[in-house]
Parts: sequence; structure tokens; C-alpha cells
Amino acid sequence: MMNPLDWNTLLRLLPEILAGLTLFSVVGVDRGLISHWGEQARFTVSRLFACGALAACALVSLAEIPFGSSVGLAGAAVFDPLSSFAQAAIFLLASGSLWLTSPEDAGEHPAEFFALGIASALGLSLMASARDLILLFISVELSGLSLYALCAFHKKSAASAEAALKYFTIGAVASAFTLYGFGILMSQAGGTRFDEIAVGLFSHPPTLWTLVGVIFSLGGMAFKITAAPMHMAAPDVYRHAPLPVASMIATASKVGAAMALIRLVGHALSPDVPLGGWHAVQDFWVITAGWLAAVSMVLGNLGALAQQGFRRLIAYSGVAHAGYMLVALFSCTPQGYACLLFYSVIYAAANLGLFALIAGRDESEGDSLRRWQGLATHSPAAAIALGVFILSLAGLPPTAGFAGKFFLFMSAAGGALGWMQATPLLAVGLLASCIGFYYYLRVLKYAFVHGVEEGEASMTVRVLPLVWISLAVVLVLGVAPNFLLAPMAQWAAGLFPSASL
Amino acid sequence: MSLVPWTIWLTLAGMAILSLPVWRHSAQHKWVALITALSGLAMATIAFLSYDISAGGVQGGLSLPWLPSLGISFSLGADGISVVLCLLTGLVAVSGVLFSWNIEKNSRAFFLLFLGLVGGVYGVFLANDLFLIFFFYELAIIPKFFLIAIWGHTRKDYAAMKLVLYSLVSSAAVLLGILLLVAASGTGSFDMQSLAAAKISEPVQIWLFPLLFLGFGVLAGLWPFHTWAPTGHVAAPTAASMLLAGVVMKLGAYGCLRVAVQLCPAGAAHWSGWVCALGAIAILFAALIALRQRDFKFVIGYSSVSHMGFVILGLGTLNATGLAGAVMQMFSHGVIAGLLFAVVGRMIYERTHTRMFGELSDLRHRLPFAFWTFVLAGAASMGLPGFSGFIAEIQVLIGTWKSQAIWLVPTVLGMAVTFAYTLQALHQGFFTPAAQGDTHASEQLPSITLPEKVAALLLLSATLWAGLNPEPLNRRIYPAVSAIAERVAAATAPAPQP
Repeated sequence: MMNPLDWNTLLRLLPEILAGLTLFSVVGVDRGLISHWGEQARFTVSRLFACGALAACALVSLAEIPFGSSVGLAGAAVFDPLSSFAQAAIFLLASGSLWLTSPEDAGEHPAEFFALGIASALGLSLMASARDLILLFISVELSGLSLYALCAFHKKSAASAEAALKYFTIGAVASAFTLYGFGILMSQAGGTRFDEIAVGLFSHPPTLWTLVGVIFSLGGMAFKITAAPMHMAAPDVYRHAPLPVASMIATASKVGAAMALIRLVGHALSPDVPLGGWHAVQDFWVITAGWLAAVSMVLGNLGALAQQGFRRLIAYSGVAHAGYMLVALFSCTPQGYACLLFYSVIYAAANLGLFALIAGRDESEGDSLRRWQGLATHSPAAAIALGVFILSLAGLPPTAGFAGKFFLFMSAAGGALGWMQATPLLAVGLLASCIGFYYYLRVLKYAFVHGVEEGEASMTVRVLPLVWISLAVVLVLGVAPNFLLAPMAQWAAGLFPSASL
Repeated sequence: MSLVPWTIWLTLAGMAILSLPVWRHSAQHKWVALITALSGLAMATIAFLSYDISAGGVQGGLSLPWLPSLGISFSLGADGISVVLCLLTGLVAVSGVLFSWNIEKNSRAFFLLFLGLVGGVYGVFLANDLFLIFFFYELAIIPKFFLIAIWGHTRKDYAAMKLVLYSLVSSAAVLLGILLLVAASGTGSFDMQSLAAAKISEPVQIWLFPLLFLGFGVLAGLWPFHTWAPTGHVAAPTAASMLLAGVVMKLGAYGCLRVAVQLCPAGAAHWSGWVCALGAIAILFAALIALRQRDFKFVIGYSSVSHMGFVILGLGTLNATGLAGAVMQMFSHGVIAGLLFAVVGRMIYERTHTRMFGELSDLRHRLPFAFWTFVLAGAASMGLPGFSGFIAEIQVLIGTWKSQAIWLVPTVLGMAVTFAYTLQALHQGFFTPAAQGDTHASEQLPSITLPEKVAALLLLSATLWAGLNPEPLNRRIYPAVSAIAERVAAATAPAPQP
């Protein structure tokens, strides 16, 4: 029997342990040491503490990449370069999102706000290394519950409460799906660890229950990556939740969900040893993922087309992007999984930049696209940044979105199923993304073409570093995607030796 | 030493220099843009002259690993078609800057976008890797949107959105075609040479070809997907219309030739009748519409679609003569369309502030330089001997005669209508006498400026050079298109019995 907590596991869990300690000490410091300070000062200290600690967690995760892979917590968690990288991205994105918090967002309990933010980042990070259905479910719930509470943090805003309620309701349904699906998978495979499932599911012909389990598991997980049909709460949440929370859901949450999905389908639902052929279980999840992708791409893009509000538009475009990411699952190759994670990271970078730009401007006039009117005239640099982020979402060069989307579709075309089977999905995806061009161009039109009406609007200085970092990521990875994609592909290839058929 | 890629590097360097904050006046922006465009033209000319005709093939290559794991490399190089089209791009870019000498509003942004578009176009013509071709192809789309939406006129919002959506939707078809082509080739590489060497089964080629050809063809003004072109050209500022009609439409035609025909030869052979039909219909249909336009710039816009019909028709012939004629027509129309748009958009409209026939009066005397430029450009556009249009169209006609002679009927009718609308435009635009009591008609118009004259003479001499001495062009184009025609012939030849 493996010792669940040996030294190696403790070392590899260091980022999570650090995050957990920070979670409590943020509240502790606020309550114990500085409770007599003014609200503004307490807020500033809590924010610095939380963001700094999360950035430190990210650095520790990055430093763990060279350590290779190992399994810990009695086989429930796996620590490998791909997970470490995803965790670093999650912590960085969470730190960046929380950095956007304004005193109004956090209200009179700043420490609690940041503690919940850290808790959700912790959950997402555990999701990225979960190798067991139970740990996966617990970490999904940890991040989910913290985010539900954060959504409602604008205590005096009815809209914020409504968004939180919707988010919670859909989230609860998704959890029920996930739990039921996981339960069936466990009963069919005779274990909860992914390696046990990978042996158990493939040792006998699949039953109808296996199919139900796969559909329910993937359908439930779709909620975390905001894929249709679990996307219904997204527009309200993006619009009415406190901005850093919306940013967290749009960025860190997607990366965590992408990594968890990769591991679920690539490890648990793929045969552990090459079968020398195709197994019906793989058909089940590939087709399920394909349908989820197609529905998300179509619904997301059509939904975004009708939006007048910018944050709602980004929400629907997020649904569409979840669909694009799921297209890569269709490939069933490590290369495709690497492309998926790559895309989730650059998508998150562009979105973080957009949320930073939103946070940098006065939002008193509501959510209309008009908020960007005349941006090019009074702050050209911000307008160029907005343009680059939007182009990246639209998938146009020279931004990372172009390369990333190309790789997603390419991996599906070159996937294990063959390009003929992938053609309908690719056609749907490309048609849907054509719809997307229209609403992205509308945003650009407001920023660059329509003139200013009146007044000077300036950007808050605090958000600028985030804007520049995101901009650098989006542009550098647009011109030199290999910089990140090559190591990712290498890590992914080491993870799923049997996945390439 | 590879010289061709320097067209791209110098354009990028010029953009970087232009974005430095030290330039504060629009005059400085113009000079930086002009020097950039000139150095691009110089590089294109050197590449054209130094292209080794006896060696042939792709020369001046440069290949850097870009995404080795995905079979993608940053690979540039020029064959005989590419050097000709790069030379065209250089010419139109220089004259475009000169014709934009009156831009004062946001001149830095204008020239940055202009050069970005030029750089993207050079990239497509030189890229030797399918991914890279698509990268540059998409890169050239976004500047168009801003150039039209910000600096344009005449329903510019609508035109910009329409043009860019047409481009993007068609490029989605191209992307699907590229992905399936690479997957079906089984090479796992985007390199053009290895894709050309790959065996793709005939049924697959037969349905991949329309996807790629229509996808690229939209940008070439392929009938019936041409409607973005007239509205877009009319709404664009002069330099952008020149680039759009002059070189951007050639991107589409180049893609049709380089990707669709070259990589799917069996598909091309299967669909060649349809391609010829679309080309011939476009020639006649667009010419008839041009005949009925009241807006001078729309006449030129539809004439562009009609002339691009010759390119499509040439591509459909699939023999060396017709393909060479298509490439020659790309060059010829690029120069002539640039010239015509400059006359109407810059020389006339910027001075009279109208382009409507009936409101333009007695321009023959008021703008003699514009008049003579239009006479010469119109003659070139009608395909009179001595101009490049003649050389191009005669080759397309001969090529068509050899393969799909039936489509000569609408083509020749279309050429007759071309005479009609060109002469009608000449008459209504320049010879209409001033109406009684029309005070505007006697107004002195600002005279044609030196930059305009230099640019017009540059383009005029290019069309005359290609018309009087086509050998330098043909000797570069023929080996390249013959190789493609041979691929098609080999693909359609019955398989030898073992």
C-alpha cells in the first residue's frame, strides 16, 4: 500500500499547500492584525497579499515542471509537467483576475472576497492534477462553490444575486450530472482511479450504461468549460458578477476545465494498453464531445450575434470558444490535447486582457458596446490592445488566436478517427466562426471608426501591466507558437503513451 | 543570398520606423511610407531581374523551422509567377503612396495599415508553405476593413463590413480545404513541394477543388460572389482601391492557381468547364452592368470584375498558354485598374467632389492630364495592341480556343461591351459640355500635382513596357505555368497498364 503523503507528494503539492495557507492567512491577517485599519487600507493589504501569494504559487508550479511525473495521494493525483504548467497558468490568471478587484467589488469584507478567490483557484489547480473521479469531483465543487458565493458578492445588487442564483442552479444540475456519470463509470469499471477505469472499461464490451455514464460525465464537465448546453448562466454571470469573478470564470476556470477534460478522456476513457483497434467506449466520448462542440459553436456564435452588451457578448463568445476547444478532443491524440491546452491558455490571456480593459474604464454607463466608442482617439494604445485581443478571439493573424484555432481544427482533421469523419464537425465549426467575425468587427468599429462624443475617458493605471502582459502573450505566441506548443506537445506525448493509435 | 524575402522584411521595417513617435507631421509619414514602398519595389525588381530563367523553379528560398512538430515551416521563395506578381505589388504600392499624398487625417495609421496590407500581399506571393500562405492571406484582410471604414466614403460602413465578411467567410472555406488537403495527402507537412508530390485520390480532389477554388475565387471577384468588389472599391480611399483591385484580387486568383489548380490537378481537370463558364459569364455580365452605371467609380469597379473574369477563364483552360495569359492578366489588370481608380478616385473626385456622370463637365479641358491618362488606361483596359491588356487577353483567348472554345462566345461579346462602356465613360466623363448657367463648371480645378503625375507615369510605363516587350514577363511565367499544366495533363492521363 502506497503511503498517501510521502515527501515527494508534499513537495509536488507545494503550490496547493501555499495557496491553502494563504487562504487562511488572508482572513487571519485581516481579522487579527489589521482589523482596526481603514477599509481602504485593509482592502489594499488583502489584495496585495492574495495576488502576490497566487503569483508565488504560479512560480512554484513553474519550477516543478522539470521534476517529471509522479503519482501521489494514493494514486488520486498525478503530478506531471503538463499539470504543473496548467496549474501555473491557473494561479497566474487567478492572480491577474483578483488584481482587477476594485474596493466596490470586495465591499466591506475584502479578506473574505480574496479568500474565496484563492479557494476557487485551489480547486481549479487540484482539478488539473486529479487522477481520480472523487478528487476530480471534490475539486470541481471546491472551485464551483467559491465562485457561486463570489458571484453574489455585490450584496446590494439584485442582479448580482440573480446571476449567482442562476449560476448555482445550472451548476447544481451539472454537478448532479457529473456525479451520476462518474458513479456509472465507477460501477462499470470497478474503480474510481483513472488507471483502474482505463483497464476496467475496456476489459469487457461496453453496455448502454457505459454510454450513459460517458454522456453524463462529459455533459457535467461541460459546465466548467461553459460549453452548451450548460452555458445558460454565463451571460448573466459575466455581466452582473463582480468583474474579477467574471474574469476568473472566463480565464482560470477554462484552463482548469480543459486540463481536467484532457485527463478524463485521455487517461480514463482511453485504453491503458494499445488494443490494436478502436473500442466502442472511445466512439462514445468522441461523438459526445463532437456534439457538445458543434452545439456550443453554433449556439455561442448565434447568441453573441444578438448581444448589445460587451460583457454578455464575451460570455457567448466564450461558449463558442469552449466549442472550438472541444473540437480538439475529436482528435484523440496527445498532439490534439496539447493544442487544446494551448488554446485554453491563449484564450484566457486574451480574455484577461479584455477584462483588464473593462476594469480600466468607468462602467457607470452600463454594459453597451458603446463603451468603447472613440477609444482610438483618446487612448490609442488601449485601442490597439483591444483590437489585438478581439482579433485573437476572432482567430486572425498575427495573434495567437489564429495559430491556436488553426491547430485545434488541424488536430481534429489529422486525428485518430480520420479526416473524413472530422469533416462535418470542421465545416460546422468554420461556418459558426464566420458568424463570429461579424460581432467582433462590430466591437472594432466602435473602438476605431466611430468618433468620440464628449469628454475624456482615461484608463486606470493599475490595470495596465495586465493589459501589456496579456498583449505580449497574445502577440508573441501568435508569431512564435512553437515556443509553447512544442514543449506542451512533448509533455502530452509522455502522458498518454497509448492514446495514439 | 535570398533577396526576395527582403520585400517583406523591408515593408515590416518601414512599418516599425513609421510607428516611432519621432515623426510628428503627415509629410514625414508620407516620406517614410514612400521610401518603404520604393525599397520594396527595388527588391522586387532585383528579384525579378536576377531570377535565373534557365534554372527555373522556386528560387531565392529561405526556410526556417517554425512548427516542426506540425510540419509547418517559415518557408519563402519565388518562382516565375511570384516574381511577376511581386513586381506588380511593388509598382502599385509605390504609386498608391504617391496618390495618397493628400492624406492628412491620421496619416500615420493610414500608412501603417497600407504597408501592412502590402506586406501581407508580398507574403502570400512568396510563401512556400500552405500554412504560411494562409497566414499572410488572413493578415491582409484586417487592414482593408480599417482603410475603408475610416478613410473611405460612399456607404463606407456597409462596404467595409461586406468586403471583410466576404473575405473572411471565403477564407473559412479555404481553411477547411487546406486542412482536408493536408490530412488527405497523408504527408503531415504543409510544404508546397511535398504536397505537390503527394498522391491525393481523384474523388477527393474532385470535391476539394471547388472548396479551394471558390474560397480563393471570392477574393478574385469570381462571379456570382463578386458583389463585394464594386461596393468595396468604390467606398475605399484611392490608394486602398488601387491595392484592392490591383493586387488583393490577385491574391485570390493566385490562390486559385497555386493551391487549387496546382495541388488538385485532377479536380481542376474535372471542373475546368465550370471554371471557364464562370470566367466567361463574369466577363460579359460585369461588362453589361458597367455599361449601366451612373457613378464613374462603379464603372471601374465592375470593369475590374469583368477583367478578373479573364483570369478565371485563363485558369479554366488548364493549358500553358491560357494559364500564362491568366498570370499576365493579373499583372496587366493590376497596373491598369490602379491607374483607372487613381484617375477617378483621386484626380477627379478629390477635385470635383462628385463622380456622377452628368455632374462632371468638360473635364477634358479642365483636367487635361487626367483626360490623357484615362485615354491611355482605357485603351489598355480595352485590350488594344501595344498595351499589356492585349498580350494577356490574346493568350487567354488562344488558350480557351484550344480547350473550351464554346466559352469564347460570351467572352468576345464581353470584350465588345468593354469597348462600349469605356468609350461611354470617356465621353460622359470628359466630353460632356457644361450645362447652361452651371457655375461649378467654369470653376478652376486645382491642377494635377507632381506625385500624381509621377505615379501615373510609373503605371503607364509599366503597362506599355509589358505590352510592347512582353518577353521578360513571359519568359518567367511560362516555365512555371507549364509545370502546372503538365501536372494537370499527367493527372488526367490514363494510368499506364502495368
